[in-house]
Formats: sequence, C-alpha cells, structure tokens
Amino acid sequence: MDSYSIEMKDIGKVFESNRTVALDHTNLRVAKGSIHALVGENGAGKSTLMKILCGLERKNAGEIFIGGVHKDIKSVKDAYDNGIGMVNQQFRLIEDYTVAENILLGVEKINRWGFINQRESLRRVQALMGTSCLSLPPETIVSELTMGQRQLVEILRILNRSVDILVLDEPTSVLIPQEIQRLFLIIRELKTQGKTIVFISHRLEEVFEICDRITILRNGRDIAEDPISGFDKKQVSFLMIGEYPGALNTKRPAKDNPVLLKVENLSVRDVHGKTEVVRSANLAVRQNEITALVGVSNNGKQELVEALVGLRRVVSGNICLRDRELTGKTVRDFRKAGIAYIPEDRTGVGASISSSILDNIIATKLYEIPYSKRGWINRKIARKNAESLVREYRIKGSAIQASLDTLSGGNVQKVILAREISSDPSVLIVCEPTWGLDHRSSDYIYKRLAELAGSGKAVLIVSSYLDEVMFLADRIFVIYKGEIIAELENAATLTKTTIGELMLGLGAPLSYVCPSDRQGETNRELPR
Amino acid sequence: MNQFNVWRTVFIVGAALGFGLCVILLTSQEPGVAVHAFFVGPFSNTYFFGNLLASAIPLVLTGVAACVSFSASVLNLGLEGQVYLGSFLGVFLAWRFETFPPVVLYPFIFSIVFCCSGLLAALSGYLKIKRNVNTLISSLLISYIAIYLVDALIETVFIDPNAGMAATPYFSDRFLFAKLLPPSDLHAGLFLALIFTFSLYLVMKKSVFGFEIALTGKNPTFARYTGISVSKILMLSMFLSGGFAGMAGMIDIFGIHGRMIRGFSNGYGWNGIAVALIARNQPLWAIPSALFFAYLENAANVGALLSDITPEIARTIQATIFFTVTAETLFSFVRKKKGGGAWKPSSTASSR
Repeated sequence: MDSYSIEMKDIGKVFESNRTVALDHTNLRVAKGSIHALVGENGAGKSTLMKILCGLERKNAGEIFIGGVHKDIKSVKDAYDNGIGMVNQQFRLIEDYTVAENILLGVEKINRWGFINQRESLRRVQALMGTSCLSLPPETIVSELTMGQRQLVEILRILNRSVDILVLDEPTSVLIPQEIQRLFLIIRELKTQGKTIVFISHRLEEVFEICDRITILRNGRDIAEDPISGFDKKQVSFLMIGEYPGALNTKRPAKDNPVLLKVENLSVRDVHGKTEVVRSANLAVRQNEITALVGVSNNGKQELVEALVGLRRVVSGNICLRDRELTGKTVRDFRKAGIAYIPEDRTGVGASISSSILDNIIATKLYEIPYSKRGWINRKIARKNAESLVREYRIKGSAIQASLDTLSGGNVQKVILAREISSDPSVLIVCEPTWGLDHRSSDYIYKRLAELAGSGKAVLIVSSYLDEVMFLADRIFVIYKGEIIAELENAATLTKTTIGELMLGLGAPLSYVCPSDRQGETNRELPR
Repeated sequence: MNQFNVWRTVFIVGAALGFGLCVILLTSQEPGVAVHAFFVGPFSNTYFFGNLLASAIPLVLTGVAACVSFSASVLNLGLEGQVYLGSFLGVFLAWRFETFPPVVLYPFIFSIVFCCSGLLAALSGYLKIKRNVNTLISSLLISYIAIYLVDALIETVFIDPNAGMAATPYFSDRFLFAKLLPPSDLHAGLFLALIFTFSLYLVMKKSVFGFEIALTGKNPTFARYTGISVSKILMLSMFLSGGFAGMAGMIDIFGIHGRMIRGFSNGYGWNGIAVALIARNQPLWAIPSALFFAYLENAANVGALLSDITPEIARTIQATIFFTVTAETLFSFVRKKKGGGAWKPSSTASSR
C-alpha cells in the first residue's frame, strides 16, 4: 500500500448542470516516483479526475489516499498541503510580470511595511532553480518567453509549493517537437528527484516514450491499468475508443497534379499596415492533394491565409485560381471562384454564435439563385438545404432554428464544415481542423477532407499539430518570418524534427542542454 | 419575439404603469378622478383618441429608424437632429415650390427629405469607417449641430414676425395631409407610417439586405468573412435610420403643424430609441410600442386637463421605462441561464 503515492478509489462525479455522469467508480493508482499516463478520449473524465485530485472539483463519492493516508481534498490549498500540484493546459501566468514574480505569485515574502522584498524573492527563486536543476533567467518578462519556457515557469511555481506529485494536463499540446523533447528531459529529471508525475495526453507516441505505467479511461471508468510495456499503441487506442479507428483511405492519384491555387511573390502587411508580415511568398496548392502550411505562430501564417481568401489586402504579388487572377478581388469574388475557408477561430470568425444554424449555413450562399432572387431570400429552399446538411453531417440538436450557442464545439465545427464543403469549392482552406475535437470527431473531419481531396479538389490545411500534418498532407510548406522557406514532399524519410527545425528557422538540429547534463538524450528523434 | 421577450415587455410596461399609479395616488388630492382620467381619459372620446393616434405616428417612424441602426449594432443617437432637419427641409421645400400640385410635390419632397436626413446620419457612419469615430458620440454631436443650425435659421432668416414665437410662416394649406378624425389631429400620415414600417419589416425579414444588416449586427467579423462589405452595411443602415427619422418629423409637420416651430419635436428622437428598445429592434413591434408611448403622453395631458395631476407624470413613467429597459443585461443573464436547459430535450432526442 505504501508504494502508491496516489490512490483514488471508486470516485464518482455527477455534473448537476447537464446531468451527466463524468466519473463512475473510477480508480487510479500511481506508484511513488513513477511517470504515470492517464489517457482517454475527450470527455472520458481525465481532467475531471485530476481536478478532483487537485481540489478544483468536489467528488460525489469515493476515497482518496495520498501516500497511504486517507485525505479529504476540498480546495487547491488542501492539495498543495498534501504535496499535489497541477500544470494546466492553458497557462495561468501574468504576462507582464517577471519569471520570479510569477513563480512566487501568492506566496510573496512581505516585509513589515507591506512591500515585497525583492532581494529575498530573487534569492528564493534562485535557490529553487538550484535544487530542482531547472533554470531560467528570473528577471525576464514572461511575455518574452517561448511556450516551452512559460511551461517551465508553471512547473517551477508548483515546485515552489514543495509538491511531490505533479499533474501535467496535456503539456505538449502547445509545444513544438524540440520543446517537447526538452520537456521530457525535465520530466525525467523530476523523476530522478523522486517526484511522482501524472501525464495526461492523447498523443500516444509521447505516452509510450516517457511513461512507466498507464491508466486508460473510457466514459468515466478506468478500463485498464498496467505497466506501459504490456501494451502497444494499437491496443491502447482500441481500449480508449472501443474500436480500432477506421483505416483512412488516403490513397489519391499520383504526384505531379495540376496546380489549382497558385501564389506568386505575395507580400502582405500587418493590421496596422506598417510591417510586411508575409514577404514574397510562393505557394502552390495542387488538385487531388492535401497541402499543408506549417509555421510557428506570429510568422505570417494567419496573414497569408487571410490574403488567400480575400480578407486581407495584398501589397504585391499574385493569387491565381486555375489561371484566374484573384488578386485584389473581394471576399465574395474569392468565394464565387471556388475558395472555401474554415478559420481557426470558429466562433469569432467562422460563425455567428447568436444566430441560428440556418442563418449560419446560408450566410455565404445567400447571393446566388436559388437561395435568393433579385435580393429577396427564398426561405423555403434555404431551409431545405440547411435541413439536409444537418442530417448529412449528423449535427446534433437538429432543429435548424436553434441558435448556435446551444451546440457543442464539435457540432459548431460540423456546421461550418457543412457550409463550406456544400458550396462545392475547388480549394478548401482549413485552419486547425481538429482543435478541441476528440478522436471520433477528428476522424470524421479527416475522412471528409480526404474525400474532398480525392474528388478532384484541393485542400490546404494550416495546422500546428504536426502529427496531423504528417498523417494527412501530401505536400508541406513551411513559413518562417513571413517567408516560405521550404516545400517538402511528405515522403517516408521526412521527420517531425526536420519540420520543427525548419519552423524555427534552424538549419542544424537544435541541441538542448539539460541542467543535469544528460547529453545522451538530447538528439533523440521523435518516433513516427 | 419569443415568449420570453413578450413576458419581459409585459413586465416592463406593467411595472411602469404601476409606478405611475403610485405617483398619482401620492400626489393627487382626488386620486379617484385622477386615476380615471389618466387610464381611461385618452379613450373617452374621438378627440382624445385621435390625438393619441396622431402623436404615435412620428414615434412609430423614429422607433423604426432606431430599429434599423440598432439591428446593425451601430447606435444612431442623432435621431432628434435628423427629425429636426427633415421637418425643416420639408417646410422649406413646400414653401419654395408652393405652385406645384401636391401630387408632384409629395414624392419630390419625400425623397429629398429622406436623402438629406439620411446623409446626415450616414456622415457618422462615414466617420466611423474612415476615422474610427464612435458612432454613438458622433451622431449625437452632429445632431446637436443640426438642431442649433435649424434653430438659428428659424429665428433669423425664416421667422414669422407675427407668430409671437420662434416659428416659420405657414406653408400653403393645400399641402397639409387630410384629417381622418376631425376635430382631432389624426391625419393621413398614419398610412404613410404604416407603409414605411411594413416595408422595412419586409426588408429586414425577407431580403438579402436585411439579412446582411442583422448578420453585421450580430458578428461583424463573421459578416466580413462571408463576403459582406461591413462598411457599406454600416453606412446604409445609418442612412436608412436617418431617412426614417427625417420622415417622422416631416410627416408630423405636414399632418399637424403646417409650419416649422422651434422645439416642436418634443423628444421624438429620444423616445424613438426607447420605442425600439421595447420592440427589441423588430419593426412591426414598433407600432404597439409607439402607441404605448403616445398613450402615456396623452394620458398625462388628459389627466392634467380633467384632474389635478401634472403632465410631468408621463415623464416619470417614461423614465421608469428607460430604467427597466436598460436593465436588459439582467434579463439576458436570466435568459442565458434558462436557455441552456430549455433546449435540451430536443437535442438529446435527435439521433447522432
């Protein structure tokens, strides 16, 4: 019994607001000093279970033992007192504060006049970095840090509360491959210091790389708990979803397809019209192919896409669709010519959340016969179209008059997908197609995109999830500092590391030196 | 309007009238007579009732004017100035072209007045697009400029020295609208107001243009994404809004006054905003909403005539309405909480 650092027994949790059972007699046992994976689909109960452990949610049933002792964790403070801390998926940092200020947030040493003792703070942060072998310049402002460094600040903040158990909720989702490798080194380092780590992820290759044991959740129940060596990825994915994910038919006609959308020497300025954020970009999206555009954020990716759909003015260069010049045309001309666009920000840009499903579906088609004649809408035809799309795309809550804010994120994405694909585009540009969606919805979206590309159209995906890109794309363009620096064919030899290096603008591989100097692991490649 | 909004409106109207009742009971020496005069008086004879309807006409139009701009989420607070400019222009043109037969003159004056008041409002839209000036502030300030300019013209160049007040001379009687219910003020402008309201309802509900206005109002970023020229819609909805406000003033002048009088508009523009708020930006609902406002105004007047209450009672009730209506955030909060649950049955019943 003592060897378990966390033991959660028969945990039950019901959400009153929508009467769903989130956790149903769920068990979790984590051995002391191990890295334990917690995997499951969206909504399987991973986060809820961890929130209960960390005092962010209250359990309805069950018992928690920490280090073999029965505990009742009622608040985050209770969790800290028992040595449990969590790093959330979304960082909770104050961007304008320094690293040191963020680490000590809430536990600042205050002198007798009520001021923060700066020197003492600095000393404490340095001491912390010394003992944990993790270092960052303590006086840097957080907004200047990379995502990986910000995560480190979060981890240090929790270590400062002298925790023994760290929960990392989807820690890799915002990181690029090199940063992920560095995070893994940090996790291993923490393990050698005797900390227990719970690692939540739905990227299985990462789980297999780093974890010792695994617990699989499905629909609020733990259905397996074993050493990771007893599984392979296929089995885990089977246990998570309950079925083998359907093999995707990505077979499409051979290479050298004709170019549908051609971009030449395109330059675009930022919102203020001052600096050029896209410089002389060349891009070709081919028929029967899925093309991907990748790049770290703030490198002109978004601006380039907006120019491609007519939302942003072009400074110089050309955009042609099938030899048809579209440069300088309006959004409606772009749409009419056959470009469809699914933006990254679905509820802000891609849909009107307070309008009905019907209005959202017809909003882009309204200008053509038969949806309207001489400026008057034909509601009957519009309604029929919306109804058939709701059925075809299995959008839940099928009343087309229902306002979009009553739908779940996955269904909102389906509404947008239905609208854009049903306009029969030549080129579909889709940003972050599966953000926030679970396996099932993601698979559905992948299937739709592959279908579209297989039917003589072209798809351009813009994604920060490289596994997705490698899985879907035939061709990959990399944008760095506003320039397209590489066009890669997705051959078997291409690795995520290569793409990651290009995204960072590096010719040579990045080497990260871990504070504890474990050089042997620095240049490992991610398993594909 | 859905059921929730109907109940909300009933509650607002009820609360306001209840408050009015309390004030009457507190201030009046003869509460029985006063209450009777206030609540029943306006309907007691054709004169009072006709006047009630007549005073609702400009309110319907300013209400509709506010509906258009609010639907597009641009706030035209300059209705008062646009009303004023429209009426003055109407009087000026009728006086300048008095030899024309009314059949020719009406369409001519209507279109000019509509365009000029519309352009006055569209100016705010233009400033918003070009210079990112807040429409709410610019329309309000521009409206004051218009009001004072017109006032200056009435008091100097166009004053009728015999009137004994700041007013222009009467224009030819031939141009006045026919009276419908003599001796009351009710005039044929009623039909114009109804026609305008109904056509705007059709446009908002059934046309592509109306859809564009509503979509721009709900999410301008999405509107731009679908290919709507957001700046065009902003300008056009301001233009329409100003145009309707101008018509409101002009029809009131041509129906009742027959000349321009300083300060005649009596807050039509401001009350139009309240009318639109109660009507939830739906043009057809502007009609009952305006009737209610007109009723308050007339009830207070009749009450003052037949008992000892003051006309200001109408103002206090209107103020109550303003307060309850602007407490909208509270209501939408309640609705959001309810809305999530109310929907569930149908969504769970559907197949995946």
